[in-house]
Amino acid sequence: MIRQLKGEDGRGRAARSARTDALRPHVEEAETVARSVCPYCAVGCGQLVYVKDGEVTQIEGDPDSPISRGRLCPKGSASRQLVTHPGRQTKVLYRRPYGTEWEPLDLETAMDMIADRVVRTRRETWQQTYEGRQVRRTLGIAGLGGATLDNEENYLMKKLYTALGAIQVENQARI
Amino acid sequence: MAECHPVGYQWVMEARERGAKVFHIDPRFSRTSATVDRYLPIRAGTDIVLLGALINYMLSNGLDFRDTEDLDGLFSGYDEETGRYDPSSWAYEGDVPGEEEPVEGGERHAEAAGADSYGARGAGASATPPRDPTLTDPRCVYQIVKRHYSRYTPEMVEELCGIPPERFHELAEAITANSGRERTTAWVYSVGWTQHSVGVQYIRAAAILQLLLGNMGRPGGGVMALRGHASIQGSTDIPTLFNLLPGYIAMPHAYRHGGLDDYLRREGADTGWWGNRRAYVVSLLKAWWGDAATEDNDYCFGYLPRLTGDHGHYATVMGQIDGTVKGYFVVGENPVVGSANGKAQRLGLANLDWLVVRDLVPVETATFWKDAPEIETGELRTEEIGTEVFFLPAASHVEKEGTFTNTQRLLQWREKALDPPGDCRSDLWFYYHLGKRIRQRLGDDEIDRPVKELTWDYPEIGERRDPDAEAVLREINGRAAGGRLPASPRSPSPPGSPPRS
Repeated sequence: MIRQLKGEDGRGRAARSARTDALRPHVEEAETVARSVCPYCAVGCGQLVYVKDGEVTQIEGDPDSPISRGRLCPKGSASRQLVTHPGRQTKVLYRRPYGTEWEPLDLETAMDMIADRVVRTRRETWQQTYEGRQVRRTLGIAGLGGATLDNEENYLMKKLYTALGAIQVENQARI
Repeated sequence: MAECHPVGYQWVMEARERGAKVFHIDPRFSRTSATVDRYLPIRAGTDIVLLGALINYMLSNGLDFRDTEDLDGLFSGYDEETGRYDPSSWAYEGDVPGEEEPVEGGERHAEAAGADSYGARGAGASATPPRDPTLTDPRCVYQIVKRHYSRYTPEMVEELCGIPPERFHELAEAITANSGRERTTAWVYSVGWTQHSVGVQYIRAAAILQLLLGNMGRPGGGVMALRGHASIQGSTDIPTLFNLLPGYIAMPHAYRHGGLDDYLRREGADTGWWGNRRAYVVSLLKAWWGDAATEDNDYCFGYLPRLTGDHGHYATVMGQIDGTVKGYFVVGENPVVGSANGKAQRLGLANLDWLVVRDLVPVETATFWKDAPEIETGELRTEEIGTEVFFLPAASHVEKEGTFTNTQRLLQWREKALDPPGDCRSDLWFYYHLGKRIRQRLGDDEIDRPVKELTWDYPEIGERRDPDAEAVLREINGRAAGGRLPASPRSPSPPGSPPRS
């Protein structure tokens, strides 16, 4: 304050204190950094994801990205909160038929239960023919996906659904 | 664009600094409007009139662009004897096209656009339609387009769009001056066009205009969709859509298609790039059914389920309400909020046997059974909803590796920064391990063969046994008829055919 009153530039030495001198950027302490891509719009800005002690500590624009040249919009800059926010569900939830509350369920058990239901529903609703023509399908199982799925995920989903004969496969891309 | 895609907009601003002229046509004044050369407010829903008048302006003033080198409809490098192009005459400096790259065009490139509701290659039109190189026959496409668009005049633009004639002429002259041999004009649109009731007509009108101006297939030209989601383009290219297989290959239809040959004969003409469709379809079938797919069994083409009509999102919801659809997977999507008619969505969910929702948080689609508005009004009662609901937490974009396809169709690989917490898993993990479990449960019935014989052997990584996303990405390129992965995605060889030269 005294330095500022003495007329020094308030943006330079005059604004410094022991506390500001001790501040270090998050990225300096990071153990690893991964090159990623922003999950929001489809401009595809490059992101650098900094990790320390198993936590994402910072997400910044990637200067090496030819798309974004290091920049991120306010939403992309805040994408660390998408990953780390406390409302994120990290355990499987199960609601039994006619149930009034969520119940916990083991992930492996859930996977087995879902597989059992797919196999059963597929068999019960199988259509070999429709109006005399071969269709080899089920109208009993359907899927809807969002448009932030990876290409590889979309591919595997369509591959499995199609082999199962489930044709009602949709994506945000049409909606 | 300045507000919703600000980082992409830097390139527009940079182009403007280098002398590009930027128009913003929008009913709403935004930050984009504030930073362009000319903002044109337009009455919502009148874009066809404006685009039509631009087309009319080009055609009636003889301003449409004819070939760069006046080669009577041919481009540089055409060989009359073989009817093919030598791309070396127009390739980028230093770019040597691969020997196997099929290069076709000219007379043979006559594929019609058409019924793409069941695929992307259009109808199987004749490869040799009647032609009038003088473009004067009253029934040729050029003259029909000219007659049709003659109704869209600057006066009509003023009356319907609210754009005065002098502003219209400024726009028309600017796009004409910036199209041609040395310059190109780009049109950029977003959901203001795509989600309009006549969105398809808007985009087709823009495509006609760009074709007339010579702005297609050239740097800085085109009609560009600004995509709203990270990989909405990828979700169409490698689709989770009912009517398409990966790479815009049509799902077979029970009434239109019998075996593989019949399907190939009806799905598009033998010209242009889609003339290779047999190779595309076979390489997909080989990728999916491996050794089980042979020439003798149509490469398992019969394993593909058949469509019989519209099996889209809203047809599915009606199927849930009428009890046809029993099980539903919702992955990274929240239809009870995001789709039209949320109430129908919830009534559909309430009538399912089972529902699987995968997301970062328990979205309304997962919790409808206790907090739907219909519970509050008494139309639904939690104790009477028989739907079994599984909520499986998903991995975020930094907790898995894979690719997004961005708005300009560039695939970008994302590295994994860390493992997802708790039970969170990638959707790749979920579908891979679900598929493994389903395969273990199936018997030897004929209907189970497509699943049992499916190639499903991706390398597993780490303690959580994540399938290798890179192996999946590689498979997306397909497999040659002999079973090998292609060395280059540009060299699909039809089975039995000699290498292309």
